[in-house]
Amino acid sequence: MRRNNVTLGGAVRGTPMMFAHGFGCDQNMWRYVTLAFEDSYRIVLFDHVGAGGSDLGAYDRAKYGSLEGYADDILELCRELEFRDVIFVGHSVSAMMGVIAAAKEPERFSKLILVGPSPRYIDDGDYTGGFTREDIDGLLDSLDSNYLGWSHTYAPAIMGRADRPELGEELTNSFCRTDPEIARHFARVTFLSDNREDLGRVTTPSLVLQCSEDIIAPTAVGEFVHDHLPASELVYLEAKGHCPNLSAPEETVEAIRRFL
Amino acid sequence: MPEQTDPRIHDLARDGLLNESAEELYENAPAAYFSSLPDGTLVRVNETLLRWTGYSRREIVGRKRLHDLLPPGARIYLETHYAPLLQMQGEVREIALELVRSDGSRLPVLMSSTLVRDETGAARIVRTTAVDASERRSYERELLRARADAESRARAALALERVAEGVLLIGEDGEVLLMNAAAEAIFGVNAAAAIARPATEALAGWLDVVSRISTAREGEALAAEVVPVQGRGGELWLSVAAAQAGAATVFTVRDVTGERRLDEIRSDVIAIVSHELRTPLTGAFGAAQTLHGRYDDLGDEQRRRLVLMIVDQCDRLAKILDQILLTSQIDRNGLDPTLQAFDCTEVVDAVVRGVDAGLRHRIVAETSAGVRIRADLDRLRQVVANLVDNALKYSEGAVRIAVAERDFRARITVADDGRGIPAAERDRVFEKFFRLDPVQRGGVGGTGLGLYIARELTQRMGGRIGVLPRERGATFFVDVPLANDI
Repeated sequence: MRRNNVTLGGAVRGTPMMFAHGFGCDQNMWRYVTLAFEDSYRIVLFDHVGAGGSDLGAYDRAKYGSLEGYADDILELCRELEFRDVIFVGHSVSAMMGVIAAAKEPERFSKLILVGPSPRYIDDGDYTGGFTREDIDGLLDSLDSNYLGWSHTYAPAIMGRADRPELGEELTNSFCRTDPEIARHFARVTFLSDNREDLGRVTTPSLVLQCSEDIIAPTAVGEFVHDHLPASELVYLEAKGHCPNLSAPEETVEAIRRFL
Repeated sequence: MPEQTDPRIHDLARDGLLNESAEELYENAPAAYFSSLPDGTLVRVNETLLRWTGYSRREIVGRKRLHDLLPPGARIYLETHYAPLLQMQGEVREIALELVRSDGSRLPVLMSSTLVRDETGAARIVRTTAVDASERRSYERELLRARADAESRARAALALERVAEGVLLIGEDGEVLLMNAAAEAIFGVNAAAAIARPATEALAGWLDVVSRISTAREGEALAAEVVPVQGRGGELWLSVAAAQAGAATVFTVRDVTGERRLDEIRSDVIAIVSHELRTPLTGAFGAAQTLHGRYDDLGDEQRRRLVLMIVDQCDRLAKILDQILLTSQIDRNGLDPTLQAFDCTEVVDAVVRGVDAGLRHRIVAETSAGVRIRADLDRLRQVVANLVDNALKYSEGAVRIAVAERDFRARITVADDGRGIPAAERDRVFEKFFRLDPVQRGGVGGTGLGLYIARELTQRMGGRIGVLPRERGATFFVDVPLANDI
């Protein structure tokens, strides 16, 4: 629980609704969505190990070398909270973690809500994921460039001035801050993952929310997920971009509510 | 008093240079300004952005999204970091990204954005400033490179510290520039105490090394040489290779003293064994040849003596081979003793009966019956026989064997009146192949295994063996536990 910085809220006796954030942020990205479900559901928020307020010391490169490591954490949390029939809401890469978890222990989940899921980000033969290997290297460069500005670890380590207090101040772009090495690794694991095979193993009723003009998970990818996920529904959102939970919370909430 | 104005401001106003409109400031600012819809569609851009990117206003406004001005990797970053941050915080500052120009080339920028919401809280427009960060980016890349360098240097330093071989860097003037932990151990000195000092002063025996080792120049193959060095704790054998490293020289040093000692022992073994086998063989062979060639010329007595000689020499050969076999069994951890209780006198009597003292010696047994011990009878007999053999070899006259009870133990002593053993050698005489007289000036032969076997067998029976200090001659003792069956 401490490892994943779990936050419990909502109706104590309500059906558990577990929200998993995607690559780049932490549980804060659900702030506009969870409000709408607090009255009737038990809200479970958490940070993946390596993100937000999680225990960075628990980061293990071998375990988190594939999405399965994260999926195991989700199952562990369900077990510890003695949850069954969880409604799992996963954004971006976490949608696939939910898929893996539901394939492993179907009885834990009653419904899966997948926001902008992609089982594979890189093009592969007939499959269009939207990216190439080089694009992922470009992302890693962007990560590196930006950690120079806001990391506690880089500059002092290079300059040999670990005692400069101004570098330890709270920085503006704080929500997405994490350890740069972990961010790189998570980026690699996320964008090089291939979980297309796992889709067919899920029997849980699922909702796929597909944004328009989402470059991370293009429409073709959402449709691929829907086609291969046996008990799934596909809803096209008008919201543009990859984070409808932030840019169009009302539309997102409405789609989830209708499905539930 | 009339208002004092800076005359330079007056001049600028006169020439119309202060009539800057907000429009002018916006369009030609030293930063790119653009406004976009929450989905990234560009709705207004300034001249600076157009100039920097090479696009015309018509190509961009209403047609392109911010995403289109970024390389693919940065688009992911925009969607997974920049956009969520903007939504959650209302602003984002100083994000390092690259703009892609119309010709495909890239311009590093630092982007800051503000999200404007209407009164209902709906996000309406995003205002962004991008400043040219080309120089800053190359500086940052330098930092990253420096970090990678520092890491690889730290790894190299760790490897150097942990490598099993000693590594030393010696400067042009012979001063110690660097030495690793293994080198510290070999020379018995702290790097801190040695660094910057002349190697010949700081490192015991360094002169022996540099005088014998040739330095490989760049591109030359390194060849290690083994040199004896007078180190702090005695003689060391070091395997050393030296290579030029810039103006300095890097030495790799391995302590091969142990291996060297093994090598010496091995060649000793061969020399001793062949010599020891050769002597009785020559004797037996000579006697056999004489018998064979001159059989008819020899009298009965002569024939009898020659045959006896053959028997004696063969017996000696067999004994030597037995010792070698026994040693190899001991070395392989064989030979578990069978302990039983018996009277110590039995052993002494058996030995005395079995030894041929010859004309030069007398064996005096001073035993009192009734000392019951717990040991392996055969092994103990072998131990005592070896001690007696040894005494016979190194002395003339009487060899005394005595048994006495002492501190709950039985002590068997074998004393001779020979040349004795120097105090410094009293422990070493039990070492394998150790001989007081290695070049055999005194004509004393032997494999150097007798006392070694005696010690090993004694210890396996739970006993103790040693040499008592004496002014004349040597007294060996063997202590064995008393039998507790009385």
